[in-house]
Amino acid sequence: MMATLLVGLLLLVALYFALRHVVRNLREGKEDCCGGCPGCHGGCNSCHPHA
Amino acid sequence: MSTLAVALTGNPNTGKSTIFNELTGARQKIGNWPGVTVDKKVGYTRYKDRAISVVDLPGTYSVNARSPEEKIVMDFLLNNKLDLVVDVVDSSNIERNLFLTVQLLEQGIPLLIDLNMQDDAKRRGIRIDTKKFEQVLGMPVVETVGRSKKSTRRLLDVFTSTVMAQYEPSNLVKEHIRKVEAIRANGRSEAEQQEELAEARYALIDKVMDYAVDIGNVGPSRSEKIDHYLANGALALPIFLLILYGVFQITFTWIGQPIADFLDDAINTDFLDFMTGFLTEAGVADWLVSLVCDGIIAGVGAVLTFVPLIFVLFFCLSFLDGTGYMARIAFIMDPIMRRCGLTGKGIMPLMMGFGCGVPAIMGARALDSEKDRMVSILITPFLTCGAKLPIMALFAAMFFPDNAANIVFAMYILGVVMAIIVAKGLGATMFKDKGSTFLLELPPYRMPDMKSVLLETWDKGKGYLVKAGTIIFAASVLLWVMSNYNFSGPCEIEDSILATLGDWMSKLFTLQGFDTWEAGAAILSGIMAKETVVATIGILYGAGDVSTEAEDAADTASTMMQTSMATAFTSLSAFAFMVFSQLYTPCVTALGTIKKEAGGWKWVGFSAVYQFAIAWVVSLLVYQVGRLLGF
Amino acid sequence: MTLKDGKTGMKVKVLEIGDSALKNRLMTMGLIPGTQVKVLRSAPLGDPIAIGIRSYNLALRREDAAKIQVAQVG
Repeated sequence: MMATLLVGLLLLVALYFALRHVVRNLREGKEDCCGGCPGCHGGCNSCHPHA
Repeated sequence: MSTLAVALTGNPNTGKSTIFNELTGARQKIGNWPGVTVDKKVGYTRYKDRAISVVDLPGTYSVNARSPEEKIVMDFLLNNKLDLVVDVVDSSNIERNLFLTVQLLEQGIPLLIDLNMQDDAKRRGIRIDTKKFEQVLGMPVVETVGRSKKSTRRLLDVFTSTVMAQYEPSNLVKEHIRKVEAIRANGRSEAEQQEELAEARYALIDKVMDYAVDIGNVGPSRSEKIDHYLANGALALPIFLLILYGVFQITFTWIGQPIADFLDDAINTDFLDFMTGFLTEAGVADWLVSLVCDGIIAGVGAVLTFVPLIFVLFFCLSFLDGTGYMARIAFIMDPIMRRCGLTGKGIMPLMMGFGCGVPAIMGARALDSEKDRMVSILITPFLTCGAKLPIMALFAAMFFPDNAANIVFAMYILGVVMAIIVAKGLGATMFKDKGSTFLLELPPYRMPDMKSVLLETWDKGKGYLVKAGTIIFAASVLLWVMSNYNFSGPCEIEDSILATLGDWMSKLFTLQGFDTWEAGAAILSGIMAKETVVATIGILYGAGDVSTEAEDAADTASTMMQTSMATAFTSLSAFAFMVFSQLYTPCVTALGTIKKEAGGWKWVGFSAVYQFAIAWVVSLLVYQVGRLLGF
Repeated sequence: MTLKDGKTGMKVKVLEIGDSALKNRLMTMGLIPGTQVKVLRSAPLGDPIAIGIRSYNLALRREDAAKIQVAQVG
């Protein structure tokens, strides 16, 4: 019983942070997703081929 | 003392990012520029008791506000009180680089000119007299050679000294500024003024070059010799294909896959067994053990297994980019891309699409014409992104164990071919009479700086890990709940909400041979994020099969899944499923990006519907023709 | 002649850049009347072409090169 409660609580906390991250991303229009950006040396969003 | 505010600017390909990384190390913060999705990188460091903040501005050739990047640079430099702006110049390409320098000088910005890549310049016989250079511009000049502690210290010494105050623009520069003001006031059209300004700037640059730079005659450069083979002649195209195939082999055969197999074993067998045992032992309720093991570990684990593949692929792409070969790909492929209704430059964002469609769609904004941009945005999602790769890798390994790499390669080709067909179609119909342009610098070949390549690989692969820990984690929990409950409480998986939804979805795929509710559920969840296709399959087929462990440890994981999936798919229907997954509706994130970049829900709807339709038709053809042929 | 007619290895001088959507960008990249240009190579399928200007290499399409008037200097 104790163990169930503990693991359950842990899971809820983890889930809270995970969902918060997802919601924040949505709200700020950000995405974690990144690609092999061959056009630039910047971070993942600054992809822009040259010239 | 207050923090010293420094900004780095310069052309693309000048080693600016390497200098930024050297200056600030790991203390970097990545944010967004207001209003646009371009990364804003700020780093912090301390030197001689002075706190220093460094902003890495996007690399641009000029500041004419033609692109979002140019606008960002201009706005930032004009609206912020900076103590110092470092203009990173590629010394081996100093003439063209000075165009930006001159433009910045015209704005009266406190410039420190960093003559970077001195070693390259010397090798090419370009000798710059730093003293004369300082004199002729009236700005401090520092020589650097990319990654070296000495270079970094030299820059920091200037940052923290007060030498800046001693400099003022030379008479030559002052005269140029007067000329620029006269041109701006002459009342001609904007375009004419811009041309006159360009001429005036290069006139000044010619004078600077005459005075301070000596260009020796050293014959064709190393790059030109390499280009003789890689960008010219009959071998160029075969070599390109060979390099592409090499990247593939490295990812799927030589390095990526073996690590992935190892990880698969570690997570989906050893760790799973350990957790099941541990939680049961500790007296955790059965349903919670199931949620953790069959839900979260199976779901997140299925995605994590493919992390090595993603990182190896990103590493290869970053490495190729660092060498300067990407520009050659655009160069040799332009006529082919044009025949497909695209431009050679479009190949660069498209190659990003093999990592992830999102930056690829955003990368399309660098294309010059409206037509090139729109077509590129709309065809990008057909490519095999890093999140679709696990689907292909999993199905290929299970149903085509002897030909796995070739089958995955075939899927990549399919994506490319569909992209081409659709590009042609769009070019001939919706974007008919809009032209496209092509103008591209061919930077010299360089041995990429390993630290930068690794940093970049990490930057890009990191997103995949973060996703596994957040959205995939949450989705796994949701999927577990949906597959273990219905509206009247706990139930068998066949009666669950997920089964009902999946069943409803699968009705669409009776002609494609994968009309099981599990496949339907996987496809449905894939619209959220493509990784969840594999996560769903991991949960649905992995659950309850732990007892069928094989003796051979290395095969345990795949055997476990094979036993329950083998009945659900034939190799032909598995192939049809792969084809469908390759082509159907992009994930929510990609759709969101399409809305931003293409401008409007119209294109989101279009993209979602036409891709689903195409995927449906092609997978149907594959299955039915395959059956006729007796597969 | 125009830049399009340049043969590999030929050195030319820019006389005039004809009006086109690219004109402004070509000038930003350093193609100004009077600039020396070396024709380097064409891509395996004949188009685009690579030129050397101001000690760097630039690629452009033949149809755009055809709008650039040049004179041979060596």
